[in-house]
Amino acid sequence: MTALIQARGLSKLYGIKPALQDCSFAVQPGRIVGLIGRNGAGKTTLLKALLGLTPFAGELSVLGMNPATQRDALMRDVAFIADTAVLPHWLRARQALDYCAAMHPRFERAVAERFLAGTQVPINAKVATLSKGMVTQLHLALVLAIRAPLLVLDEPTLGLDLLSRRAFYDTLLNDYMDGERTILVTTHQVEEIEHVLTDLLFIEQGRIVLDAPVDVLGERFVQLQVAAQHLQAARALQPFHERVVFGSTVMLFDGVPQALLAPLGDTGRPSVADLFVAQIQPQAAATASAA
Amino acid sequence: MNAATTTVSVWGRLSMLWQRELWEHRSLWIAPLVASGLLLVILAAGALRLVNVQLGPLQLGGSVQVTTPDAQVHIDGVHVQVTTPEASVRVEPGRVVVESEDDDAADVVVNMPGILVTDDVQGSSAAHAVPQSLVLMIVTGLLLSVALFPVTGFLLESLYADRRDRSALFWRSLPVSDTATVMAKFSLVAVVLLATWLLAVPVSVLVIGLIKVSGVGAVIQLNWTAGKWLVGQLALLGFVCVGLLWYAPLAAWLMLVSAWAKRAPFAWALTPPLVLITLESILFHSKHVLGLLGSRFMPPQPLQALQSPQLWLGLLLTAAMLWGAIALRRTADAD
Repeated sequence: MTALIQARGLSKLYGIKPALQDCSFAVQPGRIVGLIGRNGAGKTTLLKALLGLTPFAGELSVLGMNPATQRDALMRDVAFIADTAVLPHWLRARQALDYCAAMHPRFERAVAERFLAGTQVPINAKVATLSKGMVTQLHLALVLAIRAPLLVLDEPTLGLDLLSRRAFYDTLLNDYMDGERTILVTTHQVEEIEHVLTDLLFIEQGRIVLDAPVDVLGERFVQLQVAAQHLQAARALQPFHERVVFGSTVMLFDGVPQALLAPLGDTGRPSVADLFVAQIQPQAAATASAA
Repeated sequence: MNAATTTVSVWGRLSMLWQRELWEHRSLWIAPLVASGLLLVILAAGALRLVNVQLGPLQLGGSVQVTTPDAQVHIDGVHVQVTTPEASVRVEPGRVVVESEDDDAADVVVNMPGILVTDDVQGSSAAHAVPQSLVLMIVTGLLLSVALFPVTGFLLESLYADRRDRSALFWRSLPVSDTATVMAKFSLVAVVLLATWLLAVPVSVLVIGLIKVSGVGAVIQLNWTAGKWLVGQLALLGFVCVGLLWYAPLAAWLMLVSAWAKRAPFAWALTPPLVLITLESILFHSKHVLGLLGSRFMPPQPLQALQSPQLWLGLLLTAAMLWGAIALRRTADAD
């Protein structure tokens, strides 16, 4: 199966500051990929490069197209919501639907209307009169109604309350995913979408630091709450992260068989949030183990 | 992936792009309509004697046959200059009629000074005679001038407003190329100004009607036929079309600045020409730039303009500036 997104040596400089450094990864069709990183780690820059919204160096293929030169064709097969993109204040909900219906060949108006019907957004309301949450819902309605092979969501639920976030992800899973569509999503609320994701891409300082399917995480990564007397033995197995929680030491291991670790304490599967923190703080881990 | 796709024709897409601009910049269509409404309301108020714009009852009569060119005709105190031979001048209550077998007579009268003011007839009243073609010109010119204000504002905002309010990424997330965006916005100006010309057609007819009814002035009737009226309107249309070509570089300049400016596009639009003019006058003590810009602002004579290299050079410059605006739009990062 050919990859939907294929990046090799993707790089981008903002002045002298590198925003992306030699990123290589592939996204297969039908996956829900979480792109996770801190603010300024390069998430939005990476998404913009994928969508042909910013120039880049390196090789990049999205849906078999080069975003730098084929953006116009690419946008017909992509639905995209950017965290920094806001709907203009003068636009009415109905006008937004009219516009998308005329401009996007894959836009299904009925889907957007159904989604909006489940919200508080009046169809004739101007964006200026809507709350921040309602504007996001309107934007999500527009994007979910685009039945494109690739959906890119950059902080899609920013400003939504818990109930609306749930409703959005339920709609996404139930209505949108049909096994063929692919979703690339970034968010700060990792815990909420952990169960939704099939793949993880961690990005830090413009580099991909982890690229793994969620279902192998349990085999590859083990979290160990170390019994005090086994501290030295556990450190000998080279944890990549170590922290102290309520007086007991918690270590994370990559590729160490669970059978070796089980005698040293309580083992478990780390959460995505724990993995993320561990992956982007290797120095902190090194300092902790040296201490 | 066999999701249904709906295809909208190129024309459908273009009209939606225009529609989108009219949603955002409502003054583009409101301003000419309001100006037309105000004009008609004022004249209607005059016709209904609600305001004192009428100049007194006109009781005139008499006719004269002209056989020499440049005849000075006086009938009951009404003074008419007729520059064509073989014409009859008739003064009736409320109007002055000039009739001629010679087709050119129409042109002669069209080119007459716009307003003929008669001497006192009764007491202090005076009669104004306005050629119909001049009414067409004044009404069309007035509405076009009114439309130019929102059009200028629109051009300066066109590629700037959505970067300022950060909605550019939303618009660019849809399959609309940057070329289509820029060209739709640019061509909308022509649509708005041509629509304004179209609006002026019925408005000028109503204005002529109201002038007659109100007794504000007499409208000279010079063998006016539907054909000649049409020719008058088409001449104005030609003027508008040549004007669009002539002023295209100014519009493209505003769009280029709009695509480039980080803030205050209005100031950036004015600064480079002012700096150039100032530098030239300091360094070379000459005024070529000022002359060049000044001549560009002068309204063109349609037939002369079409044959002048300036018009075609201007269009080349327009293409270059639009290309620049598209390139800026493509590489502009919204944040």
